[in-house]
Amino acid sequence: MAHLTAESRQRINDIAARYPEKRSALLPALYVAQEQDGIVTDEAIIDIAELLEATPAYVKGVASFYTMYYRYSVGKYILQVCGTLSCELCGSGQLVNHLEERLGIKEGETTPDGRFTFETVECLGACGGAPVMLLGDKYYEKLTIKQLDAIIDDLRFKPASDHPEPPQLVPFEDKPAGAKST
Amino acid sequence: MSDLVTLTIDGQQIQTAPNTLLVEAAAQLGILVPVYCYHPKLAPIGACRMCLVEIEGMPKLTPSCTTPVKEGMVVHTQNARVEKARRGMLEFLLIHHPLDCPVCDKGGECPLQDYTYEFGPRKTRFRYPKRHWDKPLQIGKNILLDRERCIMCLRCVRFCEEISDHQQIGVFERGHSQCIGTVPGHSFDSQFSGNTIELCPVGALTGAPTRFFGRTWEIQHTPSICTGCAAGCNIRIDHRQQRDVVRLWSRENKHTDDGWLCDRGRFGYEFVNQDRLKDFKILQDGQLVDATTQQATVKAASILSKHANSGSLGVLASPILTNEELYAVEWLTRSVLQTSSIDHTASAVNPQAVQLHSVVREAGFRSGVLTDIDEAAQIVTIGVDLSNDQPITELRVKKALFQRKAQLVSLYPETIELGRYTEHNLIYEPGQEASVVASLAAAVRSGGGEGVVGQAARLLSSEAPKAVIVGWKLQGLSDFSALAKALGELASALGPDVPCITIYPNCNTRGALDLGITPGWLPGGVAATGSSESGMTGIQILEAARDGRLKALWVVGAEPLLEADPELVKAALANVEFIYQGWSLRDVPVDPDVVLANVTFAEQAGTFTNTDGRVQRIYPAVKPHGRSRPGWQIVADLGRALGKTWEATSDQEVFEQIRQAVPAYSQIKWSEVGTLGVQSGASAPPAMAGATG
Repeated sequence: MAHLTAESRQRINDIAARYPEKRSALLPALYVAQEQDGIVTDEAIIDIAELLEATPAYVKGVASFYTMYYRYSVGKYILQVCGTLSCELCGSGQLVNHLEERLGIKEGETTPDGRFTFETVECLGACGGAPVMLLGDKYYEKLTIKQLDAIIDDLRFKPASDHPEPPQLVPFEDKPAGAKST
Repeated sequence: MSDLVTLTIDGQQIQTAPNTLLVEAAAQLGILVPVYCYHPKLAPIGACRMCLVEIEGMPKLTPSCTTPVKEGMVVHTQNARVEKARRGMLEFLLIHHPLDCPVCDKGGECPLQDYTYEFGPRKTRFRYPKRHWDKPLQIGKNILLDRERCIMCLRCVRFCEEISDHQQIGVFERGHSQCIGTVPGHSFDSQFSGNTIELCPVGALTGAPTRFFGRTWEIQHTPSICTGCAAGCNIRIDHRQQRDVVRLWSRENKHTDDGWLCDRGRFGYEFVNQDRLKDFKILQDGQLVDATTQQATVKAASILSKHANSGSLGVLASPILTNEELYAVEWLTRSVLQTSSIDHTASAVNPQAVQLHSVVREAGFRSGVLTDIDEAAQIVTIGVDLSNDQPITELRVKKALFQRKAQLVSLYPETIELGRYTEHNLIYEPGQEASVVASLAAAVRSGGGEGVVGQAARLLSSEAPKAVIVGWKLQGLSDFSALAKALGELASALGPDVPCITIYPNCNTRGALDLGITPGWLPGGVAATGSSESGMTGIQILEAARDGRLKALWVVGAEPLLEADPELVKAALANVEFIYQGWSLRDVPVDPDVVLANVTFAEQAGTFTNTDGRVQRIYPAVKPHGRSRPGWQIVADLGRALGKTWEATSDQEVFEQIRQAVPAYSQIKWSEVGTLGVQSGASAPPAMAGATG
């Protein structure tokens, strides 16, 4: 967690080359940084600004606006349960309750071992398969509690080598006191 | 014009230009629509929702700051529905606002405060804890941020994006956490950062140097002119009971500042308040002691008379003195003391290049004014880095580049900030100015060529209206005639009637040149002849003083001393009888034999001539410190002590004398100078077309 690696820089430069203006590559570049560190760090923001000929303040504005970029520590696996109407009607609330009980954390929190973060999100655009959960780039549709348990069991018992150190909490001095962490 | 749009606002019909925003049309009728995010110089954004109005036929209320007028529109700005919306918006804006008006710098001149009294709810219904942030954050050298007060109008961010292009502040987070901020390690140090203080409609951005300056209702305002550089930005001096200057504010004049100020000017007023000379002084037994005005004047006059008419006196007068002061100094020096060694600068200036604005005119350019930049599609800067040399003119060039897609060709020994916006950076070795200009001129004439010069030349060979900007650094060239010739070639290559704007260093350098505060030139830009031709330049005066060829120096204002090598200055001043007239001894390394206490620009009436020859008035804002007096009165006293009477008894009378002595000023009517100034004749364009605002 720090500055961008040479590989990440190369990836960002490659993406930027597709656009007439480099800063058009900002959103994918932030994903590259997030893939590298798990979160988008201030150092990465400064590096991206330099690579894309934007200012750090501009990049930080974008990175902190979109909820899919994490600025604070998150777990290795991020379980995003859709909480919008269709999913709610089809029982996403029960999934949420079950996750809270099973993982021992509240929505928006991370397990102490740094393995899971779980949050509810707005519509994932798959109402036909409600209730839906997003894990990484994979959709789990018509999800039951039983299937959810199986997913968690699978991830929980993955070998330790596949389980990096949890990212350290980034002190974010601009956060309002009492504001909810993302 | 027949293409006006007719609409009705609150029952009144108005005809206005198409694309006028509703909020502006309402203002034309004198109807107040409250706004926060709207600003006439920034692009509409519709962020604050304060300006909602009802348009008949539209289902919902509409923001008037983003809606252009349309034929037949019927708009209501004052009905119950609109008033309810305003009340609601203010209730929202105030949810997290700390309501700390009693300790807020903005209190008393705050639109949030004013509109809350006028339109807002009397009490809040919000029963939860308010959001709290650390405050104030110093986000830049001059700027403090209080995010609790911020209402997210984004004027500051938009200014940094659209006007200065220094995007050092941004909008972070979203929803109720949304805030303005900087990235650690990248502070808001733009040299235009102070403008965001003025733009901020609440007390979220305040000036670090001016924090807690006082309550706004105890502050008086006086129009004046910034002395930071030669742009002649119009300022408002804010002062407390005429005692001390507490801040400077912009005072829009489209001919000079276009509504903005740079931080160097805005925060560069401490010399008015600090280290001031309050009394006249004389040197007794190696000690400076307070003296009466008369004692000091008599002593100074005796030194001056001793060296009058003998070629052993040198005079340096600061280019931030008023025209009236400079004219008086010139009168005493040449007419009474029969001395021709007088200069306003101690930096190296080639004698051929002193009157740079005349040089470019003789080269074939039209004498340009700053507003010519607003008309130009192609701008050529030669030997000038506007970021340092005249920041506010840099903003004017940026406006041309950003808003009108003007193109820039820059000739400078280094990459300058404006160079970011052009591929035509002609970077040359110092000393190569003439050959670079000449090769550009040749390439323009042949319609192109190799390399950067060729590309720039291809650009410039089009018919597009052009403006050329030259900087005073060119004055220092040892071989100036080659450059003058090259400028002549460029002028003829670019075609007829191309304006050339001369950038001078100080707020009244142009005035000093017009008034003959330079060896070899008499008032009115008349070349000196005969005995007065042999006057020494500033640097020669200091060297001669050091070497004992001069016996006395009269220095008015310390600025010329700061331009020379400090060792030379020290040696020169220690070696002569030294009369110092100024507002502070801070920059005077040697105790003078006589000290005459002069006021600063903030304490007197007078005029300055800016870089393009615009004569602008200053007005006394604060009372003179101690016994200090306007320079022309001190000079008049010296004249009387020497047996010569100075006719003028007021600044207006001095100006009348200047009018008679300087042909370029002869058409200027004192009553017309007003608060916005008048262009002096020599450089007035053929027709003062209405410049864009």
